[in-house]
Amino acid sequence: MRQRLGVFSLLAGAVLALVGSLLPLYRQAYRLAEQLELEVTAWNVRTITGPRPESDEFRSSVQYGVPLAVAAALLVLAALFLRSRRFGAVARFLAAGVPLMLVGAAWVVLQVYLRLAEGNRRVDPITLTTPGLGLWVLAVACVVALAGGVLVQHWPDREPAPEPEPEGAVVHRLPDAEDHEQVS
Amino acid sequence: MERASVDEGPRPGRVRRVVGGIALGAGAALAAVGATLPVFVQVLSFTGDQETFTMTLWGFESSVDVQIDDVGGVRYGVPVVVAAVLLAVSAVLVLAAPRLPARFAGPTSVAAIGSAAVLTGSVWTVGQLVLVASSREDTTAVTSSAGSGMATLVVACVVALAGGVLAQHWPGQASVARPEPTGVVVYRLPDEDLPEDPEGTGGGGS
Repeated sequence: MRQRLGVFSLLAGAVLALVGSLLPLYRQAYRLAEQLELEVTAWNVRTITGPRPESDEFRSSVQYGVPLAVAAALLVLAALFLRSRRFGAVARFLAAGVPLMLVGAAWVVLQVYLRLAEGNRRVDPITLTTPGLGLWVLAVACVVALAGGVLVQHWPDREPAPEPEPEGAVVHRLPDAEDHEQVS
Repeated sequence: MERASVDEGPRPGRVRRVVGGIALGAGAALAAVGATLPVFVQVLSFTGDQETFTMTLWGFESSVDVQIDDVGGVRYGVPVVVAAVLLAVSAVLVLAAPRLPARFAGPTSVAAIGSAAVLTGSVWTVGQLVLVASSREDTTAVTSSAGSGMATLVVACVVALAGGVLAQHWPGQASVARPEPTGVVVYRLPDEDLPEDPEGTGGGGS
């Protein structure tokens, strides 16, 4: 049961990481003479309002999606091979490590957002940066994947100890109406 | 000297564990050093004077005294430093494993790989930032490249991951104790009385 929930969490974490990488991480509104609003995902930058380049979407300057996608793929691999007798140990190893790799990657993306958001505090801000849904989804992906990674580990002390075998003669106590009356 | 008698002796797991612990510690040190070195260097040479513009995980610096128009707040190094601290803690846990209670074994393995993984995830994403900055088209006046910090951080990741792998209890290795031999001990002594040729080809002439 715990194992199955763990596998489900690992897979859900992978899906959420991919979804998060496709959703906007943050939006930037430039307060120039011409209105310009951008939406940045882990893979591309989209112009919401303002002058558009050759196409509506262009490659993000930073491809944050690469480590996120690799982490998602490794999470899926870990979930698939957990039951394998041969690769089970490797899968548990990945299940322990990859969620934290996802945390590391998402954390740097968060730091980039925090840095850009610091521009909002200027007296006369040139850009206004607001967080997008992608950041939140990535955070949830980290938590879910971490939970999955913990659930699928073999913790030796938490495994139920085998019940001690009863020793000695088996004694059944039978209801004894007479005894009962004598006592009372 | 006392330790040698208490330690698990020449079991193959011991060397691997010690090497793993040292690698985790080295990864922590390299990550800490890399976090202070420039990850990106841009050399500008417009008017004959060379001007170097560097980026560390904590901000931007310029060789000349110019006001860099920046909002500040570059703290990409936070996850790297946190990972370095976690790596140092796991290194201690791994190296001290024989003196710790057995219930620490599982969490220690997870900490070893987990801290290396945090470092890898964060360094990789910083690498994506540097990759873009250094792949912008260079002109004769501008040369951009990854700095020594980036190389140090990548080496830190490799070393830490190797340590994380070595510190694991893979089934069939350290966890399985060698079975104690049972039964009667039999020594085979050289026996010169036995004929050299048991088939008796030499003496079977008749």
